[in-house]
Amino acid sequence: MSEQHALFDPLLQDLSDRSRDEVLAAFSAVQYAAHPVAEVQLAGLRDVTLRRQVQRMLKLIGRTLVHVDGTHWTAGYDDDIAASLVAQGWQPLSVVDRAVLVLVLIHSVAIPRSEGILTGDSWKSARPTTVDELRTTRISGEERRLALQRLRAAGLIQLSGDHSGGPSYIPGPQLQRLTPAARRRLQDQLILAAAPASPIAEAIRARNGVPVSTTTGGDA
Amino acid sequence: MSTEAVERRLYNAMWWAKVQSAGPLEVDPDTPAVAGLTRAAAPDGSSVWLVPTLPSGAGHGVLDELDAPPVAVEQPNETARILAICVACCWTDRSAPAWPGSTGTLAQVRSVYAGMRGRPEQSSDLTLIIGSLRRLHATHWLLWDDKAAEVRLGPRVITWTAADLTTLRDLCRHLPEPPAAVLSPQVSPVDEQELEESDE
Repeated sequence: MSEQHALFDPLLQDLSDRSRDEVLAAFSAVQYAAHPVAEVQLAGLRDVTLRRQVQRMLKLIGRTLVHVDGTHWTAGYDDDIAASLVAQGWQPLSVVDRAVLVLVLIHSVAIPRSEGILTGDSWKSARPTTVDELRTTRISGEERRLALQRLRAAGLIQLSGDHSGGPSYIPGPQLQRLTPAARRRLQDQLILAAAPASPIAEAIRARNGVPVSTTTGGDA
Repeated sequence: MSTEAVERRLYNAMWWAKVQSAGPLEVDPDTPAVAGLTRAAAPDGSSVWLVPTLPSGAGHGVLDELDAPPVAVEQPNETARILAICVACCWTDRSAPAWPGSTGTLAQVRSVYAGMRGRPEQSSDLTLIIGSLRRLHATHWLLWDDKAAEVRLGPRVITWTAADLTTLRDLCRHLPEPPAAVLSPQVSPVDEQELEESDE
């Protein structure tokens, strides 16, 4: 089957069959694999010229390559496209889903990071958030249960391997798709939400030049 | 690149970003075409769904060879089973494309499910069935109406190729024949309480 593809064909038609296969394999791997893929595994990522073609394909659909740990690649939303979508008010996650996700990020990443247990700017963490830590009077048990189900299905959270105190959650593989700018935005937003009067929040507001609302800049 | 070409690229990229973050989108039929997004018209023509398509050689198929799994589907076997049953119930004219198909009912799905298992319905079946229907609805493989207890195939099925449909036709022949659909806006046999325990 070799049907025309209106968006990608202009890019792909100049490639040899072999290069085309390698570019499409790398594109599919960074787009659809749950976790970042190793650069050594794919010619389309190893070879700088082919990788540039993968990046061009991603650009066409509002995405970009994200380098993880210096050895792996995944794809996330292009910062300019994400900013335009946010400016349009685009938000596919419900407010309850975002609230539950933020609670997991606070307990699994923000708190361990503030304690110096987690370093770097990654949103990956092995510190589980327990169901107890997710309890809040603002969200009913049923709402929370359905939100957890949707967030798991989206890969935004995952069950932690630690079942000692009942089910618990850690950030999902999708968080690794955040670009460096998106990771910083998310960090800034959590600080602004958690400690709006702190000097660091003041510095963030000054850097951004405008008062910032307390939304999460998630890459879902 | 001309300004017009730049604007068209941005337009395409924005719509692609939207369908990647929210799944296929139901839009006004007047929405201009987006390169690479196919259009699935709603049966009454009041809207169209924008569904992403990929060139051959791209997509999830590549992941198996790489041993790099996609985000896991919960209860994958039950979910696949329910999708197959819904294809049998909703794709009634099998000489036509699967989209938009016709409306099926929860009663049909339950009946085929029990037939497939070769035993009378058990109390836990409904929880599994509803959980799978909701999961498939969330990913746009099905359009499941909880209140009416009715289901249709989702817009994603428009991307099924002739070869896929041949495989599915064969699969439908191996499933128990669904009973006739009794459509009614009043039907709501879903006992919410019974579903509380599913999945967590």
